[in-house]
Amino acid sequence: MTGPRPPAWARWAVRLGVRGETRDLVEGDLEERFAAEVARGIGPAEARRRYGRRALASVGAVWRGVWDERGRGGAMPGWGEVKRMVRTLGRRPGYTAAVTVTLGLALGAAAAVFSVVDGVLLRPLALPRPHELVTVWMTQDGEPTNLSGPNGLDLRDGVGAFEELVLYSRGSVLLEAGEGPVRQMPAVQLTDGVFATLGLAPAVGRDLSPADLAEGAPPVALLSHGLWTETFGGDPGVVGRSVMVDGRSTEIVGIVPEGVAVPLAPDARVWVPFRNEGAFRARDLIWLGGLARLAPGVDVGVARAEAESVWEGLRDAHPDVILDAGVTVLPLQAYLVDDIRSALWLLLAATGLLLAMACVSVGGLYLARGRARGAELALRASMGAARRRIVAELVGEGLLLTGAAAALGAGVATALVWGMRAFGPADLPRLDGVAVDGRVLGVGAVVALAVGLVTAGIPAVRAVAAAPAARLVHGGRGAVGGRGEGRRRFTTVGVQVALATVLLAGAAVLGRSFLTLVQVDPGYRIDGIVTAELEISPEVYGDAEARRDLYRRIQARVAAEPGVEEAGWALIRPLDDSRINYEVAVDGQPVGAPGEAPSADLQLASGAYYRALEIRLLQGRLFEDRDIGGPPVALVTESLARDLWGDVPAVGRRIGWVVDRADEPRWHEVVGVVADVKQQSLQAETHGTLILDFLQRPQGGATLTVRTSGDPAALTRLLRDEIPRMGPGIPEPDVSTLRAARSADVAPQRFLVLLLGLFSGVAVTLAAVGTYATLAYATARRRVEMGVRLAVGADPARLRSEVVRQGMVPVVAGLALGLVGALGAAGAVRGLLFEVPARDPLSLGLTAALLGAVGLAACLIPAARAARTDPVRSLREG
Amino acid sequence: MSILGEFEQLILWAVLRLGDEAYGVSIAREIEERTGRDVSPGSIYTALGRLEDRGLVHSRREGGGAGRAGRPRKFYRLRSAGARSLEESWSHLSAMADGQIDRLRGVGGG
Repeated sequence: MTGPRPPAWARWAVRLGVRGETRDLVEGDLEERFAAEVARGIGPAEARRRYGRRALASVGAVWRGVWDERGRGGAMPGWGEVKRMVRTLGRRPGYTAAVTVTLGLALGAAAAVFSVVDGVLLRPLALPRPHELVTVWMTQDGEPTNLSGPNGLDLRDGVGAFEELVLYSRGSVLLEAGEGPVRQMPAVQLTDGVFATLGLAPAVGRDLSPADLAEGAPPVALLSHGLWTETFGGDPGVVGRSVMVDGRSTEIVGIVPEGVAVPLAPDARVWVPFRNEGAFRARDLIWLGGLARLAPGVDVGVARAEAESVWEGLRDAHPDVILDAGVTVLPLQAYLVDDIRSALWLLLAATGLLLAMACVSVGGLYLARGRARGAELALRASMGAARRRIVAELVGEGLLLTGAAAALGAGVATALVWGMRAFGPADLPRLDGVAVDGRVLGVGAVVALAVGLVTAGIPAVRAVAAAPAARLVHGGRGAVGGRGEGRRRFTTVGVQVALATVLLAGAAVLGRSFLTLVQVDPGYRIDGIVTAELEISPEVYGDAEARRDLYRRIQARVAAEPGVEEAGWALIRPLDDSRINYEVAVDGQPVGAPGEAPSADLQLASGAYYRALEIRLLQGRLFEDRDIGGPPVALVTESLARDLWGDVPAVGRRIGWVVDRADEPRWHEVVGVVADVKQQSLQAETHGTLILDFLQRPQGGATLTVRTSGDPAALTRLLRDEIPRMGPGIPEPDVSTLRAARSADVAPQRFLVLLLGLFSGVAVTLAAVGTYATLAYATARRRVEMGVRLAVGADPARLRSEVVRQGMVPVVAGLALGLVGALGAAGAVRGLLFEVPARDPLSLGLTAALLGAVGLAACLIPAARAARTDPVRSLREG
Repeated sequence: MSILGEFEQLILWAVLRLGDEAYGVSIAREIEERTGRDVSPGSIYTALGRLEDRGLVHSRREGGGAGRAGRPRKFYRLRSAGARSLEESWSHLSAMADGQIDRLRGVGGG
């Protein structure tokens, strides 16, 4: 065939859009008219245009017709009808806003929490083949603990399932680049092969090599991408240059790539190989993390079994060290998010409940609206409009509202995620990467669509199911909606109250746990305490005398400051989760058998540290200046004293600690007993602690703890400015307050309580509004009856209590159901609680009281209105 | 008695006019020439399908015709129920419109 041809796209549109016999007929007509118009000399371009227009119009018409047939004479709402719906909704702003806000808040909350769950728990790590990455641990009494250097290396060499294994330890270093000041930097010490383990290549330069770990190897370091860009302007030529790390000239050999959420030390800025120090060679010193990459196709369970068998060999070779310890291999991702996992699932479940409540509430609103329009719908049905069409219209209206709610929800979710990132716990892993992205919005849209169809669909079917003629006659009131419908409405109230009860009970028990936690007496003062963590150059301050002199000068300088009441040194400040644990021996006895010898946490502190923190001295004395250069002295905490000596006074006894079992214990005389404190965390168990005199053994790093009656902010500035001026090789210290430390310590609990509190607040509001609306509606329908009863002399007070009773029945039933649900769901919160039982009677009682009171208040308003019914008016209007 | 939409009435009038020659293209042309409205084949067949379901028209299928690329044609005729419906629709309209056309034209001037 020659001559002009119809547009191909239009032919395809018809082929795809029209089915069966109609397609043949439509195609025939289109072709025939096209040919005729071309023959008439209408011009090929115009003929093609007309063909296209008719083809599209045909597809549209056929599709509307298809909907027609499904709807039996109804029609899919067209654009015009959508505009009409928008106008109708605009005339009822209260209703429209109620539905949109209710659904929008619930959808937004759910989307926000889902995006956190998705980003933190579900999404794989941003590293190649993340499922192959595992952490390796020693276990004691089933609990994972760190590895020692030799054990870690033996596992690396012995377990074939590990393709790579890197050992690491977090810490800090002093860095001097060029003429710049000496700075304290978070750092990580590593074995070689970290990039191979992570599956990455350095951005510039090379990985650490086995030669870097050899004895006497020249010092090398890797820099984080951030440090590289900030300090060296991202200059690739920096590789091969030298910086001072801990006072030693160190060659930069590589740069860590940007944006890598390095699982082993996210904040580390300097990566250095383990220096060949004794600690790394000590088999019984457990202080290292292990990260391994499994060989392709190897299961974690297989790797664990192989590690266990290698471990058996180690146990045979070193029975005195390993004895009852075990080994385990855990997937990295599970390990990273272990602490937060249950909290996040709980939050997701809470938003699920909230969403369910919002659906019930909105379904109730739709139902009421369907009934309010009963007369109109009945009129239209009687005029031939198909019921399905009316249903389609009501559902369409619901979907329109759900669409608006989803848009609002996207905004709410974005704001909530922003808030969570800004105020969430700083150490919640991977929170930085969380965002409301396409994936979250996609899931949200599907959920919103389902919510829209269900919440609008059921009431719509119900609204037209009732006999239309009856509605028309009774003007939407009266005979329709008898007992069965009333029961349904009050069932809705019961369900709302039950869901709100579960949410509120969860929030209450977590809230009580949080309050208990923040009110815990840590055993030391928190207000007015400023801490300055400092690490000094081991080159400049190589011997103990130089360190002691510096620490005493700094202490004297700070103590002379107005407002400063006391300042003292310690190795580990309160609320730092570091622990050093050694086996101890007492009273000249040799150290006990492995696994049976008592052990204690080790702290080094000066006497002034205890005075600054107002930690109670129970027996004896604190360290004093005269101890410097004197015989070794120690303090013990009350629980350690009790464990070691029972009721016998500890002062004057001897205590020793061992690094190596073969050595003689290092003996100290106990000069005092101090109170137990919450050292690692407000939630941590109390560990018996042996305290040595910091000024007898001044270390290369320490924290100055200062109690001030003045402004902590001013003191913070002073510490940052003055301490580096006290001598060479002193960086700006890391200054904070114990208030901030406590706040960070309870941040995960606060985060959970805030969000759950917010959700349960919304839930209680929804339940209250639902109760009120239902009862108000039910009472309004009984106006005539009430009016008549009042007219014939009924007691208004009796009417009032009757209405309250009617409203409170579903509230109380819902409350009971919700309390049962809360008791059943107690397991979900148990692991998140601090010293509060999961089935806490006080929290449950408060929940019941609050919801009962709110429910009662919601019932009192309609009841009061009913009792005030004006008989004459109600009869006239009714 | 079925209520007829405006488009359905146009189609039925066209079917009546065309006698034995009423099929998609001829109906579309008839409406186009008399009213100036360009109607798509899809809407014509959708409407005719509905009218046939309601027993107002009946159809007869024939093989291809000129310029149809081998596609069949379907010819339609009014049934008596269709004729009654159309007549009733028209009488309602004309009864309402009777004597009003001049006044209708006057409305536009204000």
